[in-house]
Amino acid sequence: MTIAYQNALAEVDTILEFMSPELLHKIPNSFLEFIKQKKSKSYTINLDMELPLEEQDLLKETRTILSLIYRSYLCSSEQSRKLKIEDSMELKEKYSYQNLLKKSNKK
Amino acid sequence: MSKENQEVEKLEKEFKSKLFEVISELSSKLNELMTTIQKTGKYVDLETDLPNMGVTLNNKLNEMQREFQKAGLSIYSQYNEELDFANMPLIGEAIITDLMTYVAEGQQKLSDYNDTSLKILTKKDEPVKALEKVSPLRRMFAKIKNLFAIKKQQGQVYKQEEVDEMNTYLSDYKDIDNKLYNYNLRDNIVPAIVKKLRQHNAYAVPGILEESIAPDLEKLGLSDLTPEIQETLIEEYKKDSRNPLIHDLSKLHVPDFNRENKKDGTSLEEVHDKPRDLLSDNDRGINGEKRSLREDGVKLEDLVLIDKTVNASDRQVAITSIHKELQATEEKVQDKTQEDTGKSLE
Repeated sequence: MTIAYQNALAEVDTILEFMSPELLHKIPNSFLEFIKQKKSKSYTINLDMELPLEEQDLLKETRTILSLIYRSYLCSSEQSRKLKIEDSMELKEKYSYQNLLKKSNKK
Repeated sequence: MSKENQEVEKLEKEFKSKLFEVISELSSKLNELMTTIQKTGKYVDLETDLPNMGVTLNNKLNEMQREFQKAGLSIYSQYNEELDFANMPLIGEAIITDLMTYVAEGQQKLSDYNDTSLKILTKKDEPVKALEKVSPLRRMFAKIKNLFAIKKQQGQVYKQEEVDEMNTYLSDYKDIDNKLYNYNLRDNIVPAIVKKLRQHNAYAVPGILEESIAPDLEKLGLSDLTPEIQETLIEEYKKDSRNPLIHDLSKLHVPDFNRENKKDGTSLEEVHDKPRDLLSDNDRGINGEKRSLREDGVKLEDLVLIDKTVNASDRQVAITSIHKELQATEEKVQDKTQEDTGKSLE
């Protein structure tokens, strides 16, 4: 795992401390254990307590992991299915032949 | 009577019978000690007006029992539906342990008094023992001489500083008894519960505050103390976090007792469906108030907003990067805890 993800896990770990217990209970212990084990022990987390989560200066990888936590464990199954479809459409669009050709033409 | 009530009553009866047996034994022992102190007090200026802490404890337990009964609870026993048997409620256990701690402290003070008194007497007794080694004739003369001095001696066995030292222990004992006498739920329940949870390193037990403590506090009319317990626990946890046994900060549960549930103007689904640049302050749950991590914590709507800032490719890269290692950890933890949510990070 890259250092960027280890640092992100350290940020995620701290953010989870602020999560309400009802939400935290939905996250499997195995995943919490994973965060604890793999997070960077030396990365200094810089959270501004006076700002909401959205306005925090978080690492890109932290946002990504939080997004995955939300989709995998916290949102409803219907919402999760909807989001998966959106993602697959987004990826399909990004990697479509036409778009790839556009990119290579630009080069 | 239902099976549950029978179980609760049975445990309460058993526990009370054992507890009051111990208290009765304690009261008799304390009575003996007090008689000795009173006898000594005839010759020296000792604090002799000592209460029997066993009696104070007995009265206090009865008082607590009545308060619990009024709230429809038992201090000694409750039925645990999940485990299907009666056990001691956490609050009851915390209070009884706390009360017993006062008694143990009081006993220690009397024991310190006793040790000091004996030490002084042994020291004073040395010339008498030395006398036993001299010839019978000299011993007899010494005894006759002592007969005339006996009245004077009793008052002079202890020096003033020795009496002061002994009185300090007795005065401390009286203070502890006074604290026990004035013990009440509103002033003492927070430290008692925190002490109990700390004793068991139970900060991180899921739902312990919400499920095992808050409902009983509510029945006792003390629900306003729940946030104080939470705050004190967090402070204690921080102090204890140097202890290698307590390391997993991510497992510390911080229930939302202080925060009011703000009603958002828009449902989560609606926020989901709106493009990020069209989200209003109301969607962000602001409602004119500035939100902060400290005050509001992390809620589902915060994660929805974060989710909207991440694109599908980044999620895919993240899954690829951490998936293998996550799987290995998941397997280990599942082996260990037999807990399987059936969900993985995908």
